[in-house]
Amino acid sequence: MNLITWKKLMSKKRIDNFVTNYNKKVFFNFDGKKLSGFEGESLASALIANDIKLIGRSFKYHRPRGIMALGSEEPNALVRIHKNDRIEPNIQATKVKIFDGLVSQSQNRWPNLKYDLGKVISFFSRLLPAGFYYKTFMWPNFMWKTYEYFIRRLAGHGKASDVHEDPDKYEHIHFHVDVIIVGAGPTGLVSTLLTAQSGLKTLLVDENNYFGGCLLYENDIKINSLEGKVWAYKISKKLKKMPNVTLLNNSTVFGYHDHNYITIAEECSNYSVDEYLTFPRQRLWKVRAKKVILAQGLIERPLIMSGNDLPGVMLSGSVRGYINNYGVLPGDEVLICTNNDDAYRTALTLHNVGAKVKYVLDIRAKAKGKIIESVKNLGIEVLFGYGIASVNGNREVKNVEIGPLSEAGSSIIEKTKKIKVNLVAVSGGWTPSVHLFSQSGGKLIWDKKYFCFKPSIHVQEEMTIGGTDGSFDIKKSIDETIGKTKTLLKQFGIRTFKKVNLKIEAPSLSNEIRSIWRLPNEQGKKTSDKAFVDFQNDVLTSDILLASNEGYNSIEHLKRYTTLGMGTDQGKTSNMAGIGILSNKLSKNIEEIGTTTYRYPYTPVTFGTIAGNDIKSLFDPVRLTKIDPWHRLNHAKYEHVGQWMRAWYYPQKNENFRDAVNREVYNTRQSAGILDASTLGKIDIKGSDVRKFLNMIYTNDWSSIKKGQCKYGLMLKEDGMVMDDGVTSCINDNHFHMTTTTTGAPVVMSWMEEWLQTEWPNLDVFLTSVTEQWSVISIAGPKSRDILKASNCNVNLNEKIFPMMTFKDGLIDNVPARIFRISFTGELSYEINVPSKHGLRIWQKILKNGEDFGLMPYGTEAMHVLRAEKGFIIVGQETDGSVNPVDLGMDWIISKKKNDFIGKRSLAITSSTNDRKQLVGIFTDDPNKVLPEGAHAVESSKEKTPVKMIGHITSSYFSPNCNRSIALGLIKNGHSKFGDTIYFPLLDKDVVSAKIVKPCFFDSKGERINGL
Amino acid sequence: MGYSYLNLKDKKVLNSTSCFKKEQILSKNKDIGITINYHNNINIFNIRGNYKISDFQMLVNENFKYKVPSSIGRFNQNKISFLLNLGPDELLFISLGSNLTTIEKLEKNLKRIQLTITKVSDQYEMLNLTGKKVRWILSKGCPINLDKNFTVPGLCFQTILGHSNVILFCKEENSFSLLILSSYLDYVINWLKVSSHEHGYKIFN
Repeated sequence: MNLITWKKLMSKKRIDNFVTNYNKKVFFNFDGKKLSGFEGESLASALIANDIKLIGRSFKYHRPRGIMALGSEEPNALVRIHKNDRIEPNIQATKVKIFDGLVSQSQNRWPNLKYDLGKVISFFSRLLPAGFYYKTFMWPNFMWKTYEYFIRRLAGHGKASDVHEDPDKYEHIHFHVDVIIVGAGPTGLVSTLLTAQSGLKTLLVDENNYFGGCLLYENDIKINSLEGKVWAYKISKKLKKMPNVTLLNNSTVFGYHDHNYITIAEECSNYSVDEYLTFPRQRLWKVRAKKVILAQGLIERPLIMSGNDLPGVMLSGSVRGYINNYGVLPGDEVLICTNNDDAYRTALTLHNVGAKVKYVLDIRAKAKGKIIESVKNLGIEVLFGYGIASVNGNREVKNVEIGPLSEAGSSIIEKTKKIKVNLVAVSGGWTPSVHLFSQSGGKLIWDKKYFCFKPSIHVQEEMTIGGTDGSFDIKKSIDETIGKTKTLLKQFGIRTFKKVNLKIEAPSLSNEIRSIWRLPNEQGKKTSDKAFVDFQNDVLTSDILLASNEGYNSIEHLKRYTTLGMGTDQGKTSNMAGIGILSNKLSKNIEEIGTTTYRYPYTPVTFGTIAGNDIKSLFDPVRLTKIDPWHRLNHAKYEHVGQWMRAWYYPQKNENFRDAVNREVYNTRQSAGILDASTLGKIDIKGSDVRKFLNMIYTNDWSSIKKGQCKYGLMLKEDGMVMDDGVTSCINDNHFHMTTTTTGAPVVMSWMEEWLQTEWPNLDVFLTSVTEQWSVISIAGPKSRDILKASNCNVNLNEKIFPMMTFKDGLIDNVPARIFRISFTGELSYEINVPSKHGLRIWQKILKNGEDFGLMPYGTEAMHVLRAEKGFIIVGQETDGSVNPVDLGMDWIISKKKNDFIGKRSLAITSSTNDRKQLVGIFTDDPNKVLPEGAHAVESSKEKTPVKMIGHITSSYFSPNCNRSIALGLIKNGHSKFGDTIYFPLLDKDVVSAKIVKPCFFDSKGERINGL
Repeated sequence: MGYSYLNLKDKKVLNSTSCFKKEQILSKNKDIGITINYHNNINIFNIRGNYKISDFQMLVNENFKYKVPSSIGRFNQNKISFLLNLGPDELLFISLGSNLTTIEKLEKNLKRIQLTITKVSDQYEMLNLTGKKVRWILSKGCPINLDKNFTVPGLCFQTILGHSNVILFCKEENSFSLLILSSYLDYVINWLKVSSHEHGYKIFN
């Protein structure tokens, strides 16, 4: 850095607190070096100011890389930043604002940046062209794991934190607006002003800290006699005061989805904030906008030539930006190479701050214009028809070789001349930033005049303005913006507008541009053809040509083969050159080549931002029953059932899982057990057509069910397969209470609502979910009647008065209760429903009274064993969406009388097919061997692989009541194979032999259900 | 084996089992952005059927001195009750306090005019949310447009908050009520606490 220039730049008058605060010095660290900068400037700017050009090593060849650009288009300067445990790799130095204590590190180098051993790879670069992975590591097959180990160690850029828990806080926000404007450059600001003044709810988003876009980086634009950035500052201040306007700085719109749904990543605070547990670091905005205005501007393209990746080769506009925005000079001996007028502005800016511009090489054969004359008048030599043959240097630019181009631009026709420089500013033209437009579904068109793709067909409620629209002249684009925004306002019914008078003074630039996608080397001179197209993924011109030679002539194929544009920069600076080189190679017009698909995200987004606060306990809700405090107090072990946390088992003293479950199962059959069944789905059904409705929903007949009766029902989907089951009770003629499985409750509810609303709107039936209205306490076992009696229950429990499959309303301990005589265990059982606010009290009351009768709580595991002993199915365990009632041996539940029910037709078809898997019981030959659920059944123990699978185990337990293992399984034609032996080859190579038996292992006559 | 039992008459014990505990966190500026208040004595009824019939309209008018909300997503209220219009054939009646007489009368009359009524008081928990940051905090997990010019007092929504289904109704510019399925209460309280942390919050019963 030239100290005189630096001081000169620093003494420039600036607006207070605007961009860089020269009053506040900030100390930071790069690769162990303590450096200083000023508050507000980017890490890239501070590194340039500290004369650091080498920032990192490239992805594949470990080439030295420096800063090339100014913003999110930067492909090279990726760093790892951290403070204490908070580490983030692959951050663009151009996007990080420095702060006291910032520690930054270069990436992809070992042992250090200057002497990187990985550089050795570049010596073998000829052996490592595009696709070398596919060609090299295909053989021999068995070596792949070895190759993979090394490839994975070499792959990637930065290293993520070893601490796998992100300490920062993130959040999401939903936001609705009339208009969102993306990009706060001059056109974005003008458009925002118009919509805001019209009273529309407006959101303006920009990725920079300050609004103004290109105005921040230019010193030759004046609006209403004010320096561009001052005008922008004043407008943004004005907008900030308007209540209908929200301004979002440091925020990147990274996704444009269907129906004008926009996603924005906001940097709320950087690592300098210590209260990171309180304040979100990043926020994801989920915006629904009636209209979207895209004003993201233009991205400058580099020129492609040998050595174009060396630190010190920068985009011309970015050089200007660093000087004008941050007051830092990237180099003081400069060569400019351009194909358009814009780079002459850089020459003027450089000259004004005292840098020596040695040459302006203009690859155009000739060009005229005021700005060119201005440059010439300063004594800067302009060479038309000249190009750079190569940029040379070890770790940074030392010199360039230049020479005159042939008429076609395909060769350098004279011996090159070597020029000593420390900065090369290049401009290969400008590309409209159409990423979001393309994401919205919009179609692009090739602009032959400006050599770029620009928006053509708009699909969503969106418009493009300024540079994004392919407009290169600031005056013209502001005029167009005013016109377009007024048209948009008319769509909101706004007819009168406040006048926007803007007097714009900007340099006059010609439209002429010459496109040479790859500048040639000196004719006949042997060079190491390191002309990079994609800097981040180390894609060379030669890679593109090779891919084309190998047949990858579609740009989408070429992209995948070479990884062109697949880096975190999304090919912002590389895609156009890649397309251009391919079009030259194929001698096709660029429009015939087309573009690749632009995808989200526009810039990288952290996983934290995407997750928001949906982490840890908020990742997925945990639903708890009202009785849950008792389970916790008594040290229940839990299992997840859907979102519910259910008591799984209640270990006593030093009991292990199996002992506890065995005790609970045994005790329930010997005396009684109590279960918290509150999670069962419950639906209140009312209306005069409920019976008709149930007849369609269930397979059995509901016409004759009477008040006080309960009935088990099976629901099928339209395909005839079992969907859910449960007991439905007739509370009175027009009122029914349906129960569903715990996990099936929401599905069944919405499914039934769908049928009612779409197919049977004429039915007088209303559904209300009452799952949480009732706490359900199930008592099962021979002593359950006595226990209920002892619990201050006023219902007559006599078997004749209160038989199985009926219910009674009554009081338990003066709490209104609905008691159902239904059983999922095969034992005498009562399911007691009480309003859930009384659930805990009644649970405690019954259990306390029942302790003398041997009553013990049992969890879901014991419940599973108890029902399996009886061969009762659980939907979702014995069924998997491909099992019908006949397969389950439940033909008895299919009504022969009914004309129709959901799934009837499909059931008739599927139940008549052969070779269906059918539910059977399984007894292992070794009674102590418990088969794993999911174990596959085969017919013979000696079959060779691939073995024909004939079924699988659906439920498997040790039954303390049968004193042996029991299992249920779906076996092909199982109902005709009772007594057959089948085999279960297990993962531990053991093969278990077992017999097919009837799927009921305990009390097969059903004598215990009445407790007699 | 003797099991442990909770003394449900002891308020301390009850509080220890509840996720709803008095708590206050101030923001950096010593502010409270949201106050969360738990309503523990409410009666809620789901009313289904053709509520546009004049008998029902009269019944509501006589008993509660307000009209049945005319369009979906609106509610009417008096000091002790709310009537939310949730759908073309669905209303939700919320009565604060335990004055059952009016409700029982309503239930009896509803049967007469062939509307169905289902008591769902225990199905839901109700939270009152007030404070200058209430809309911002709710927007963190609720996808509806909570702009004060859009969601005005008198509007109600069946929507989501985080991953929980909720019914949200706007009573005043910075005052909302939230009906939550009771099994989601822990989750929603936790969600509100995490989302309000930077703005400051106060929870009281």
